Amino acid sequence: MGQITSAIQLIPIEHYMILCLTLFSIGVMGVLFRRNAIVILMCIELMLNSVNLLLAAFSAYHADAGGQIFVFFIMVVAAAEVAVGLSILVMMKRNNNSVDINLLSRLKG
Amino acid sequence: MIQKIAWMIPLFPLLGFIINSFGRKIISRNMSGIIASLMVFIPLIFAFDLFFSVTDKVTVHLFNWISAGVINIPFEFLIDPLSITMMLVVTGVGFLIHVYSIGYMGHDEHANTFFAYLNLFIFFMLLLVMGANYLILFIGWEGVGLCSYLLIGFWYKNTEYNNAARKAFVMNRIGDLGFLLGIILMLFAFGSVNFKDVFPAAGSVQSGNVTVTIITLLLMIGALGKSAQIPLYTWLPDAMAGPTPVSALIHAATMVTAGIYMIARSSILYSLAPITSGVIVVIGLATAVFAASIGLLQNDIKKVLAYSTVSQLGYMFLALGLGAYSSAMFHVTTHAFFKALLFLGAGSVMHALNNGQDIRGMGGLRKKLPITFITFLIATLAISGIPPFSGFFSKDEILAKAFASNPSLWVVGMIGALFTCFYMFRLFYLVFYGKFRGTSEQEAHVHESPLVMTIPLIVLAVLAFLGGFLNFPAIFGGKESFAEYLKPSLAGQYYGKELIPHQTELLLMASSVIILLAVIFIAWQVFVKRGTVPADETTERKGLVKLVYNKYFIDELYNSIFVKPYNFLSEKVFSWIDRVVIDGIVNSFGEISIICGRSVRKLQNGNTSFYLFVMAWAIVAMFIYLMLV
Amino acid sequence: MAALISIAVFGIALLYIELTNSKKIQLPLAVVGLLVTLGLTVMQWNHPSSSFNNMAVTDNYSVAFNASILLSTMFVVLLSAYYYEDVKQHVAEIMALMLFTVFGAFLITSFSNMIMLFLGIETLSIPLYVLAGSKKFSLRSNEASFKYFLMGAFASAILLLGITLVYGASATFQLSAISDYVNNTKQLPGIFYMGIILILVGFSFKVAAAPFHFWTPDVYEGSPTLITAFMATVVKIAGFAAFYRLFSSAFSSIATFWEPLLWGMIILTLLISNFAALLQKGVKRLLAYSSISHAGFLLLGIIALNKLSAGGIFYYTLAYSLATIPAFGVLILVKNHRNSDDSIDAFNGLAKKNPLLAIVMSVALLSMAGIPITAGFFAKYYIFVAAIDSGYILLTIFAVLAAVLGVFYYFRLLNAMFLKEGEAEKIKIPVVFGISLLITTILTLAMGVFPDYIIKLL
Repeated sequence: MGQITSAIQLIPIEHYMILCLTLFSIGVMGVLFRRNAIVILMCIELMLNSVNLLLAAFSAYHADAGGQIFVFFIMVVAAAEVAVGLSILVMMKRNNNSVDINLLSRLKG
Repeated sequence: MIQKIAWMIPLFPLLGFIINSFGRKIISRNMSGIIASLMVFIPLIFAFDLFFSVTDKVTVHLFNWISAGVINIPFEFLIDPLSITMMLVVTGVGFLIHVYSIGYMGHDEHANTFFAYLNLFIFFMLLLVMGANYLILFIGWEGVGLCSYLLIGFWYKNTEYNNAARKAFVMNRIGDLGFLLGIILMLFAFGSVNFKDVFPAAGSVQSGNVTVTIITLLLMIGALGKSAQIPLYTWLPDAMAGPTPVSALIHAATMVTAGIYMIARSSILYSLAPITSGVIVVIGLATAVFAASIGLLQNDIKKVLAYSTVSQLGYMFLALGLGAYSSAMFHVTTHAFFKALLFLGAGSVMHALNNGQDIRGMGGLRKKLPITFITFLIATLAISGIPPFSGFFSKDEILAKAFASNPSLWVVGMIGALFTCFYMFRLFYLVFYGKFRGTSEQEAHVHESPLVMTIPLIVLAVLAFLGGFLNFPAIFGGKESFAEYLKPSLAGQYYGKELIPHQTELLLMASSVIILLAVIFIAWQVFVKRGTVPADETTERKGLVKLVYNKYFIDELYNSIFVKPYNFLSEKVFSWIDRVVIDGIVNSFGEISIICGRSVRKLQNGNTSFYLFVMAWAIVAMFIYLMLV
Repeated sequence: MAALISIAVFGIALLYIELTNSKKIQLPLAVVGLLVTLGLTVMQWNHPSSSFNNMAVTDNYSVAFNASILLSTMFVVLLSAYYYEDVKQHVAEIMALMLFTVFGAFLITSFSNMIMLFLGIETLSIPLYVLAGSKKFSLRSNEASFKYFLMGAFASAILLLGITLVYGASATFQLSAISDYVNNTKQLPGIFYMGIILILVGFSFKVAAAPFHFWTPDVYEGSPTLITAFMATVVKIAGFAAFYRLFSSAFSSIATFWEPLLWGMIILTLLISNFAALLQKGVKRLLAYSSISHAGFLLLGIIALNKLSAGGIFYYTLAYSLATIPAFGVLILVKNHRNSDDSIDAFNGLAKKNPLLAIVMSVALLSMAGIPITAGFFAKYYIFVAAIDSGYILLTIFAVLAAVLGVFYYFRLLNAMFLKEGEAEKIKIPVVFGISLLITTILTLAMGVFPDYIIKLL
C-alpha cells in the first residue's frame, strides 16, 4: 500500500483531476446530446466511474482509506441503479417499441 | 388543591355543550336542561372554593400556546379577586337562569340546541374572565359574541329576529375591530399581551403617555360595542328578539358587562390615561341619562328593561371613567342580580300571557302572579335605588364618587336616576296594578309559573335584596369589604381616602331618597290612581314626546347617515370603482399572471434533454458565480 | 439502529408474503411493521446514540423527522387498501418498496458521514423509480418512471462528484471533521467550493427547487396517484431533513458563500411554481406545482439557518404532509368516479353530494394556502419569523406575496367544489379510507390550534 501510494503521488493530483473531470464532462455531454436511452445509461456509468477514479486518486494522496471504500459502495449502488434502469428501459421498449428519449414528451405543461 | 384544578372550570360547560349538541336526538328536553344546569353548577362550587382559598393572584399555566421569536403567549388562567367575582356572577346567575330555562323553554322543540348554546356561552364567558392575557380574553370575547348571535336568532324562522341578530353581529364587529387593533398596538408597545408582563411594564410609563392613551381608546371602542354604549348601543334593544332567559343571562347580567370587566382588568392602563377616562365619563353619563329617557315612553316590557340595561351600564362606565373601578364592579354584581331578576320576572309574566310583551295589554296581575309580583317589586326597588336594597348602595357609591369629582356630574347622574325610578315604577304599576287589559282568552290562561321558574326568582330576589351589604359603606359603620377584596386586582386611587365629608354624603343620600320616593308617589298617582294607560300606536304624538317615543330617531338617523349613503355609494361610486378601477387592476394583474404562467408552462415542454440542459446551464451559472466571488 | 433494522426486516418479510398472494395478510403486516418501527423510533427520543462507526447518529432531530416519515407512510399504506383493491398481484412488492424507501429516508435524516448520505439517497431513490413505473402498461407511468430515473441518476452523479471534491479538499467524509476543516483553513481551495455547489444542486434536485424542478410536474402527473402522494410527502420530509442537517453542520461557517445561491433559487422557485400553477387544469399537476412552491418556502427555513429553522422546517414538512395526503386521497376517489378525469371541473359541485370529501379537501387546501386555524398558517408563520430573524426581510416579503398568489389557485378548487354546479353523484367512501382522511384533517386542525406542541419538539 505504502509503495503504491508513493508511486501514485509521483504524478501531481492536478493531472488526475483534469483527467477525471474531462471524463465526467464527456459523460455529461453524452447524457445531454444522445437520444438513445441505452447510450445515455452508458454515459451515466461513465460519470460515476470517473468519480470513482477521482476518489481513488484523492484517497491515495491523502493516504486515507475512506475514499477507496466509498468506491466499492458506489460500484454496488451503480449496479443496482443500472439494473433498475435497464428494466425500466425494457418496459419502455415493450410499450413504445423504441428507446428514443424524445418520445418521452407526453407529460408536459 | 383547587387552584391546581382551576383549569377544569371552563371545561364543564364545554362538556355540557358537547353532550347536548351530539345527544340532541337522544336526550330528552328536560334531561338536557338538567345536564346543562349541572355543568354550570359544578363551576359555581369551584368558584366558591376559589373564593375562600385565593386572596391574591394565582396564575394557572396550562401550556405554551404560541411562541415564536419575541412573541410568547402562554395559555394561562389568572385567578384573582376580580376574576373570581366575575366567575361567581357568571356561574351563579348563569346557573339560576339555566334552571329557569328548564321551565321556560321546556315546550320548545329545539330546547336541546338552546341549552347547548347556553353552555357554550358560559364556556366562552369563563374563558373571557379567566384568561391571563388579552388574546384569551379576545377569544372569549368573540365566542360570547358568536353565542349571542346564535341565541338572538334562535327562533330563526322569524326574519325580524334574524335581522336583529345580524345587527348585533355587525355593531359588535365594529367594536371588536377597535379592540383587536388595541391588542396589536399593545403587542408592539409592550412586546407582550400577557397581563403579568403588560401591567408591571405600564408602571414605568408616564401618566398621559400617547401610546397608552391610544391603546386604551382602542380597547374602549371594543368595550363600547360589547357593553352597548353611545354610539354603539342600538343593537341591544333589538337583541331582545331572543328568548327571555337569553336576555337575562347575556344581555343583562353577563356578556354586556364584559366591557366593564375588560376596562377594570386594564385599570392600570386606564389610570395612566386621563384623556380616555374623561371620554369614558362623558360617554357613560350621556348613555345613562339618554337611555333612561328613552325608557320613559317604551311600551314593550323587554324594551324598557333593555334601555334600562343600557342606562345602568352607562353608570358603570361613569364609575370606570372616574377611576372608581371597584364601584363599577360592585354595580356589575348588584345589577346582575336585580336585572336578571327583572328579566326573569318579565319572562314569567310573558309566560303567563302567552308571550304578550306590550304593557298596555297587561295590568292587575298582582293577585294572579303573587311570587312574580313580590320578586319584581324587590327588583324594582333595587334598581330604583331605595335603601336598603342592593341598587341603592351600588348606585349611591357611584354618585358619591361623581360628586367628589364634580358636583354637576352628580346632578346629571341624579336626573338619570329619577328617570330610572319613574319608568321602572311605571312599568311595575302598569303590569301589576289596575285592571287586566288583555283579551279574555289571555285572562283565562294567566297562571303563576311552575316552581322550577319561581325558585330562581326567589333566590335572585334574596340576592337583590341583600347584595348591597357586600360593600356596606363606611358611613354606616361598614367595612366596604367588597372594595377591600378587589384591592389586589385593581389600580385604585380611592383606597384609604375619605372623598367627601360624611355629613355631605348623608345629605346627598337623604335628598336622593326623598326625591325618589316623591317620584314613586307621582307614578302611583298617574298610573294607579288615575289609571293612565299609554296611548296606542296610532295616536299622533307631538314634540318632545314624539322624539323620545321614537327613541330620538337614532335608528332612523343611523339609517340615513350610514346605511343610505352607503347604499348610494355602493350603488353608484363603489360599483364604478369596482368596475373600472379594481377590475382594471385585477384584470391587468391577472393578464400579467397569465402571460407569466404561459411562458413558465412553455419551459415545461416534456423533453428530458431540455430539462437536463437547463440543469447543466444552471450549474455553469453557479460556477460563474464562484469565479466572481 | 433498531428502527432501521426493523423497517428492513419487515420490507423483506413483505416480499416473501407476496408468495401467499393474500392481501389480508399483506396490508396488516405492512401496518404492523410501520407501527413497530414507529415504536422503536419514538423510544429513541432523548436517547441520542451513534451507529456504524459513528457514520450515523440518532438524535432528537432524526427521531422527529423519522416519526413524521413513518406517519405519512402509514397513511399512504392505509389509503392503498382501496387504491389497489382491484389489483391482484404485486401489491406486497409495492409496499415492500415503500418500506425500502423509508429505509433510505432514515439513513439521510440521521447521517453524519457523506457515504451514508449517498447510500441513503440512492436507497431512497431506486425503489421510487420502480414505484413511479408500477402501472406497467400505462405509457404515462412508463414515461414518469424513466424520466425520474434518468434525471435522478444524473443528479446523483453530480451529487457524488460534489462529495468527492469536498473529500479531495478536506480528506474526510465525516461532517464534524469537514466542519473543523472549514473552520481551521484560511484559504479554502476552489474544488471545495465547487463541491458545495454540486452538492447543493443534488439536494435541490431531490427537493424539487427551481431550476432543478423540471422532473417534478411530469413525474408527479405520470405516476400512480398514491405513489405521487408518497413521493410528495416522504421524499420531501427526508430531503429537507438531510438538506438542513448537512448545511447547518458542515457548511454553516461559509454560509455567506452559498446563501446567495439559495436566495436566487428561492425567488425562482416561488415565481415559477406559483405562476405555472395558476393555469393548470389538472388537479394532480396543480398539486405538483404547489409541492414545488412549498419547497420554495421550506428553503427559506434553510437559508435562515438559526435556532428557529429546525423546528420551523419540521413543523412545515409535517403540516405539508398532513395536507397533501388527504388532498391526494380525495383526488383518488373523485378521479375513480369520473373516469380518470382529474381536471378541476371534475370537482364541480362536490360539496353538495359529498360534504365530507369537500370538507376534508377544503381543510387540506386551506392548510396549503396558509389560512389560520389550519396547520399551514403556523407553518408559514414560523418559517417567515425564522427568515426575518436572520435578516431576510425582502425575501420574506416576496414569499408572502407568493403565498398570496398561491391562495388564488387553491381557491379555484374551493370555488369549483362549493359554488359550481356539477352532475356529481354520491361517492361511496371506504371505511379505512374515510378514517385516514378524517384523522389527517383533525391533525391538521389540531396542529393549527396547538402549534407549540410540535414546534417545541425541536
